[in-house]
Amino acid sequence: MEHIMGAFIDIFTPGVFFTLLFGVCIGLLVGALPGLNDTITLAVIVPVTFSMDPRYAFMLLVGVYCSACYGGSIPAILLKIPGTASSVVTTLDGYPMARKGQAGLALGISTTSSVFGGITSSLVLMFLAPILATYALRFGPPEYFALAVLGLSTVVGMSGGNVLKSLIVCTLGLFIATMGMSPQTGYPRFDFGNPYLLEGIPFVPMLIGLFGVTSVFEVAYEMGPAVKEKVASSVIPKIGRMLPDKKMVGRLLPTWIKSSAIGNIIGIIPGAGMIMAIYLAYDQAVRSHPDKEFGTGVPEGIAAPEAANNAVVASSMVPLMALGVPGNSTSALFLGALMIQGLRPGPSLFQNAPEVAYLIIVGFFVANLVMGPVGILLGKFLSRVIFKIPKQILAAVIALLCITGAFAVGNSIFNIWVMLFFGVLGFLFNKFKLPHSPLILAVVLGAMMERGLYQSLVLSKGSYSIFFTRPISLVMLVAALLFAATPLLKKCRGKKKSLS
Amino acid sequence: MKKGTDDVLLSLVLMLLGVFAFFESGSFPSIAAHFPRRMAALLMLLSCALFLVGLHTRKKNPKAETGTASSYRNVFLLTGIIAVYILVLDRIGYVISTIGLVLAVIYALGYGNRNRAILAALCSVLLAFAVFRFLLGVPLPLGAFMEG
Repeated sequence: MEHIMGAFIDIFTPGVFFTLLFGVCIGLLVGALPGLNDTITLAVIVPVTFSMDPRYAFMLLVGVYCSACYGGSIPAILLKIPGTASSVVTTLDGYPMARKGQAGLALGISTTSSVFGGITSSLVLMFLAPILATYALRFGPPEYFALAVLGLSTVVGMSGGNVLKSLIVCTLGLFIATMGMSPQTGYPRFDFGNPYLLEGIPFVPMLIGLFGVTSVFEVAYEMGPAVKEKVASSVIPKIGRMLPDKKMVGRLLPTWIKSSAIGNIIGIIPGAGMIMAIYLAYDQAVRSHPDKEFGTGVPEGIAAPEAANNAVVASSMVPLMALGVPGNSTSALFLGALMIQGLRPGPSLFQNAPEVAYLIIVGFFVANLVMGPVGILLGKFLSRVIFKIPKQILAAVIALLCITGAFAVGNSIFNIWVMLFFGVLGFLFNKFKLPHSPLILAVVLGAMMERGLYQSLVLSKGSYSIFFTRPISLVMLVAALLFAATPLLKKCRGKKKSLS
Repeated sequence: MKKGTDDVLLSLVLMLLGVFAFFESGSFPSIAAHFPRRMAALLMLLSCALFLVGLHTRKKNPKAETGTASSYRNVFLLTGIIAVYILVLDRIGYVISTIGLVLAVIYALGYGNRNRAILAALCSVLLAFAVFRFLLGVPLPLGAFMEG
């Protein structure tokens, strides 16, 4: 406890606090720019921290990591382009809410949800790190396979009535995930002789295409031949109030609690990833509110993914801080930063440099508090500017941001082709009424699923029983079955009722 | 187009993709082929289901829906503009080609105010160039003009 108090005193010294604030501002900006994310930014910043005092260095990194994830929700809500992969699901209800004239409230819900999720995960990091990390390390290949199946089972719940089309898109996503070198043998699959495809389809350009470019095409399609009349009749949506009122907070509280719990659990499991957390949280929100039509601007549809993704942030540091095992690529960069400073992550960190260990933990807590007001100011400013821009100019600027962002990911023009391909595909998906979300989820989970399946079968000498004899794997597979079966059963019951 | 025809067409395209993936993965070593082959088979199976659903929907809805083919013109145009942009980006550099792209998109969508369009293109491209190139260190292509 004395270390925690000491860390709070340290953090509120002007230099340390302003470094944290600076990190938060950079993170918000980077998160709001499509194509750039926390991992890229931290990769750029980590070498710079070599010459810095450890207190300043870690506050800068913590500030960026915390706020980049939230910053991605700003363009997701205002422009339907997720700034980071973690805000993909936020577009589903955030953008429709903004179009209804509640952009301010949507941003406010995103901010408060992110702060709530972030604070819960920093508390988990503060008090439960060592206990939880040992559980997370019990995950072997069968558990990872079951986790991927659990993630994919949410597709049925999110299908919005057409389960078949969702399953088709999901299978298509799993197929896309097999492109590139096989994770087991390194054999190139479906690369068509193109060296850029050896590492598979680049994920961020794909995401930018599916959301950003598709939205530009949708604007072009909407305008159609009768452009002038449509522009004349277009109305600038209202921004409205930003902070949710007491009633709304009361309404969203159960969603925040459930989604933060999901985010914390997923964050602690090394390699499980933020995407899994946001989809599970959104699916949970859809199941908890069967009376609401998600995808049309439901506040819970923003609260769930935003609370979950920020809950993943600090909790992904649990295995790193407690055991020295990075939970994801961003926390792996923290590992690098700790080593640059001559520190060894894991249990020895708390013995040898407790002031740094607790400063990082408390830093996550304070960064989440700081992120709220800074994020609201930035969101308010951006939403005022964006809605005043004519649609044609806005579409052109979105295209510019998408192209620049796609290029920035790997400094490659090939990424822009990928972006364009998925932009066209996303537009066709809309016309054929195919959902986008299962594709993204399946692409992310496909590699984990394939690797888990293969390694499990090697462990069990080809027997599938390994998935049912290990308790964690069995529980997750049963949960997946329930997740998939419940909406189908409900649908069948609904049909029977309507017939009788 | 009759209601359900889109599902039939979609299922045929997906079926072809599934068949291609199934046979293509046949040339991979068995471990590398294991997962994609199963995914391809699943895709074919689901496509068959969609085909049947589409046919059923067509039978139930014999009336044709009115199409909006002219609305696709802008989408084709934009796709072409972006494709041309990608082809020339490396040669003429980010700044000039992107200003051209932004202006082309604005005009393709029918915006009439020329001065505002030019101002918007210049400001947005130069700001993006400054942020990505100088602040974030992204090596955006300079092209023959700026490099020379």
